[in-house]
Amino acid sequence: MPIKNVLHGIRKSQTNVGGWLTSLENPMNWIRQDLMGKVSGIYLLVCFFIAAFGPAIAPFKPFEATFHENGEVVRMEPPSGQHIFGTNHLGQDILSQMLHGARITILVGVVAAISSAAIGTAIALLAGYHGGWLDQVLMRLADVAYGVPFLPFAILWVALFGPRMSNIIVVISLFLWRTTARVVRSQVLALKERPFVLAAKAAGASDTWIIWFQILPNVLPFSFLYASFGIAWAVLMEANLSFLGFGDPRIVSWGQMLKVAFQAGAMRQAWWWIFPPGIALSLLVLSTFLVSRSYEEAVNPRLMER
Amino acid sequence: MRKFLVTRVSSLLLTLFLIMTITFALFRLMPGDPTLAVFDDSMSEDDRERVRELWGLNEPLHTQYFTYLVNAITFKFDRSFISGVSVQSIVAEKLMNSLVLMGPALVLSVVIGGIGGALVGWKRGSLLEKITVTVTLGLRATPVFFTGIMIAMVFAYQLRLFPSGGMMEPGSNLTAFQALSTKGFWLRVPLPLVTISLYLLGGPLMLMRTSILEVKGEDFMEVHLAKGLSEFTQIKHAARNAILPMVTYVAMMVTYVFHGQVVIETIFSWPGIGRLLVQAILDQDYPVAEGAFFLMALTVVIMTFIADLAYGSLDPRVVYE
Repeated sequence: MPIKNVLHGIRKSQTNVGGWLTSLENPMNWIRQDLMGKVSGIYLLVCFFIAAFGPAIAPFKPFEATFHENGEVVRMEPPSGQHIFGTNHLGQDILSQMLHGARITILVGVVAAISSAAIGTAIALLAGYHGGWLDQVLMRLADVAYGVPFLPFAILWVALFGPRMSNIIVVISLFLWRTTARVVRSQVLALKERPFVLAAKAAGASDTWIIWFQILPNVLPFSFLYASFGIAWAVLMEANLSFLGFGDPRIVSWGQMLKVAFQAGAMRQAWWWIFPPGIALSLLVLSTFLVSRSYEEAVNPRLMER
Repeated sequence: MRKFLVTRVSSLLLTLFLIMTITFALFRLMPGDPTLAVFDDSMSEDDRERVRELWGLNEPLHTQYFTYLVNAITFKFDRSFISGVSVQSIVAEKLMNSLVLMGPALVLSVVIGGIGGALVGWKRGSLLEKITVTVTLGLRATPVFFTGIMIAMVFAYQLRLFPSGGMMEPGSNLTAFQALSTKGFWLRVPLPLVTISLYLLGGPLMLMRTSILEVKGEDFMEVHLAKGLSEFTQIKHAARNAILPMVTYVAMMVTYVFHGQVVIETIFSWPGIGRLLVQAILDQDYPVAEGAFFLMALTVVIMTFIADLAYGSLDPRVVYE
């Protein structure tokens, strides 16, 4: 067998051991191979594009009531030429609300996911590597995050600190970090005993060096993975919170639209108001799930060969 | 084993204690006076003061904290600020309402999800797998209130097959168990039950699928294949080993039951414990809210413990020293 193949095989089998670059290399190839992953990835890019440029291309402002020629408010109109998605009970254009809301929904999801993954990874590194009482205390904190029900606590939080978007992102992150922390911690525990770490220790490397240059690059794939799952969960959590009425009332998000629709009794006829935000939310979360899953196939070697 | 039990129980108690402290702190930090919900301007300041005294709101904070802890340990949470009914009876009643809905939903989703996941994991790469996984993930991705709204829209409003909300006939005042024999109850259960089950299906299904995938490649499965066992028996053997992660997951799902599904209860006007807790927070009804939070925290702690024990006893490879 040519030497190149053998070396390539050895390298491939050691996907979990390596520096910063290898941790990013493999997943990109896998996402390109998986059809569902590709389609979802493209959809996500479209969503991000809308989030960035939506408000600029929206025909109306989200809270602006539109009027007929005779001065009447355009209430609860089904889709028409002027309002592609129709209007709601206050005459506001639904398409514009969707375009504005995309930015908020996605922003909350992404920021909450990234911050929770960062917090979770940091805590897991500390807890897993140092062990002992630090591990116990931090894991107790994680148990607390599991033990408290999300919605009631988030409502309490919002009642205390105000329904601003930043508070919502904070409280979502407070619940999301626990999953990342658990998974990364078990990885750290496994990595800690690997020969290359022990060799570095014997050679005199400090704990900080080992954590930063040996452990962290090898747990980063898991952090990314749970960050991307986290986007899905954060979007759902924000939607649930907004639906109950505890979102930021000054801005529009897709969950907020559904809340107003539900409270206005639109369930009975206004399908054009209910479908767009609901379906958009579902598609966003679904495509995030699918992209994360195809990424997971790359990161979890046990799933790779089956 | 004894050492493990002791350390585990003490760390779980620590968790419980932390949860209680955090919720207590948040409540007392909240601005606003609970008496405002029950008083208006026509009542005298003196009466207000007396009520505040009665409710223990004038005590210094550490005394209130101490009373709270004692209450929790003895399971006596005093009376609700708003309704005056004892907290135990309110919480117990709403909890039963939630259980009667969530219990069957949990069983349904675990059974269907587990069996479906095993089948789908076994037939990796087939069209069945791709479709099932996408559909299940789609259900999981849809916000639970949207599925609920869709189902209510179609079955309750358009087709008028089911009533749109509540737990029993309006005006009846039965407990959950008494309601089991009424027609109104059985008409109102299906829609929320289906909504929740559809949402919860995803977890067990995907988890079972992943574990079956991992088990399928093990050596002992090849032995079964070589022995000439039927495919069904092989799946059975694989499933027995794949069940282990499910144990922890099911324990977590049980805690969801006790946490209540606030959103479903809102859409279908189901009088469950999730809505109770939210209402108590909004009304600043401290005893009820604290009692409910404590119950949920206690459940999580107990279920985690049971899950650990079950996992240890089911999997002979796990040894607790």
